[in-house]
Amino acid sequence: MRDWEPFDDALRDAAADLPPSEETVQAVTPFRTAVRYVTAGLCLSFLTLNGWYLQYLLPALGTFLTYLGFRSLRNNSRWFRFCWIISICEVIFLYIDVILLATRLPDVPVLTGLSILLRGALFWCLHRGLRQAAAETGHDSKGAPALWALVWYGVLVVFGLFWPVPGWIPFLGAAIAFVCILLSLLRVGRQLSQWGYETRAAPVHVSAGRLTAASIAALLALAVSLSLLANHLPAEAETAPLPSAETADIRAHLDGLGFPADLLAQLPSEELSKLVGADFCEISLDAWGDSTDNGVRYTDIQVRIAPETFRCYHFFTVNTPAAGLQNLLTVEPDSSAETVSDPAGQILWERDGTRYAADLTLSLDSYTAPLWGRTYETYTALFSYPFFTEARQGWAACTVSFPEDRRSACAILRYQTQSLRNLFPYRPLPEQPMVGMLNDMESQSYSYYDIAPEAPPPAG
Amino acid sequence: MDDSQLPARFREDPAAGVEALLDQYGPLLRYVVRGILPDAQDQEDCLSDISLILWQKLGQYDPGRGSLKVWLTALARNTALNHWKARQRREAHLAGPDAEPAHDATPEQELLRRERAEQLRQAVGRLPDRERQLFYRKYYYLQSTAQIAAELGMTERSVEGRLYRLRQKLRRELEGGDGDA
Repeated sequence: MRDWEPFDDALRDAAADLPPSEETVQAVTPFRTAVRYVTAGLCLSFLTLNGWYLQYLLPALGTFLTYLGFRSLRNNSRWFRFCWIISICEVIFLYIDVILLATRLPDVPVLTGLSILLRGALFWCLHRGLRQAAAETGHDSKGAPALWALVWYGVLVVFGLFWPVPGWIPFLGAAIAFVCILLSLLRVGRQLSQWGYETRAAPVHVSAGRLTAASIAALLALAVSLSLLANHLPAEAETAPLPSAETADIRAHLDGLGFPADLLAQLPSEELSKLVGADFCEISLDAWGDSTDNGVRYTDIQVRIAPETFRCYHFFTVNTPAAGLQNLLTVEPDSSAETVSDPAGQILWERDGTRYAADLTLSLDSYTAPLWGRTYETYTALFSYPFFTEARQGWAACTVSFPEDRRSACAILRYQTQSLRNLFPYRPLPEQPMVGMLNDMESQSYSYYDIAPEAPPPAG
Repeated sequence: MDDSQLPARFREDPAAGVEALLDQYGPLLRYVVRGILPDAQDQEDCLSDISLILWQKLGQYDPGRGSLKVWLTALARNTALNHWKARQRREAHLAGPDAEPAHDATPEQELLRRERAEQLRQAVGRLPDRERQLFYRKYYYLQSTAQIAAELGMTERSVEGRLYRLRQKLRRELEGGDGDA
């Protein structure tokens, strides 16, 4: 470390011959920096650009900048100190908002009301602070941008409550008014710095840049970690049971009908017991329909357990990291079926060499085809595979009965995984925005089978 | 009142012109002086001197050579610096009467000073905006590290780090050395 004092003295003396430029004089005036932070912060706080999470990132950055601006001004007057305290509250609210958005916690309307009141109070205190600042320099401020901002914000809140979709003209009017307010705010800041309004700058312990970077990083870390947790649905896992001796006869019989042994091994005893009396199996080994590849593969098997009655199985393997997030499975039986009953399903996986299984809860649902208006009944299940697991498999089944004149039918299973872009804010998978024109995250199995085959293959 | 009207106002009515100017730029002059002179009494003395100098020199202000604001800040800075140096000399004299008295520079020294000033002007001109502002805060407005840190929303340590790098850079530019020698 060298002693810089002589060098400093030389620079100080030489600087007398280097008067600063107009820009430098302007830039050194401290009030401008703070007002620029505040103006940029307010501007970003109200920006809503949908896409790339900008609708969340820009207002967050705006909240931090507003805080930084008032942090510099907090020693100047009590009004600016109020602004600073309010901006701290807004930062806290920002974090609470992220927690609420990222998780399955319900919205808290009181918080929304409070944040509206806080923003109104911020504008009022800013207005009073600017008036007082002008008075301290012995001038009257010509504009009242913060007061107009308060009025503008009030109108916006009323619109939001009573006229949520006001159309383009009111929107453009509001945007133009907002730009005028920001320009007026900058003008007042410029006036005050020209008048030499002296800031009593407050010392800080963390630099503005570092504080912003750390706050944004903390916010991102919070959003990502909570989103991962919220979008992972815990499964009640049990160790998958080994094939029991009681079902050995049924398994041997189904094996004789051509039911693949590895898939048969996935079915628990109570499921196998539903297949007593089976006399025919239709097997579609690669039943993956002409759909998006989301890492899921299918084998469909229809087992005839009585005349015109089938137990329809959809086996699937899941090979995508997205399996740890929300998965939506939809069993769609043939629409000509007389009855559909007894839905069941399981997911299976391996961890540390041990096989686990968890039952799926399939609930009855329905949808109406948009083109021809027909309503279809389906069974859906929402679940997640545990993180860091291997050999992720599963099956879903239901029993379907057909009228005697029906010759063939089809069985469909749709399997939707979650896109990372839908991690935040949290929404159940069926409510998430579709990815791509035809939903890139969904694939399906699709298999045809004969209801009355000519000659069932011999058993054994 | 607009900046361009102030000199004309001064020519018509010097008292009213200076009053109008101090009304508009008084806080700015105080801001510059306060950064250089920490003592409140020194600040008041300096501001009185500046008012007097304005009486004497405002008529000489040439808008073609720079804005009134730049001219005023330069005037405030140099007057405050003279006060500061005078105080340093007084304190040095009180501390030890043998202290070296100030004396005028020789023509050779003056030539050398101008050459160095030109070199510095070029070096400062090459600095990025943020570093140039830091240079002016530190060496022109003579602001303390604490004031710079507070106004820029930085910690003092961070400002000292930037100043250290700025010195190294200027040293390299002016002497062609490695900056750490």
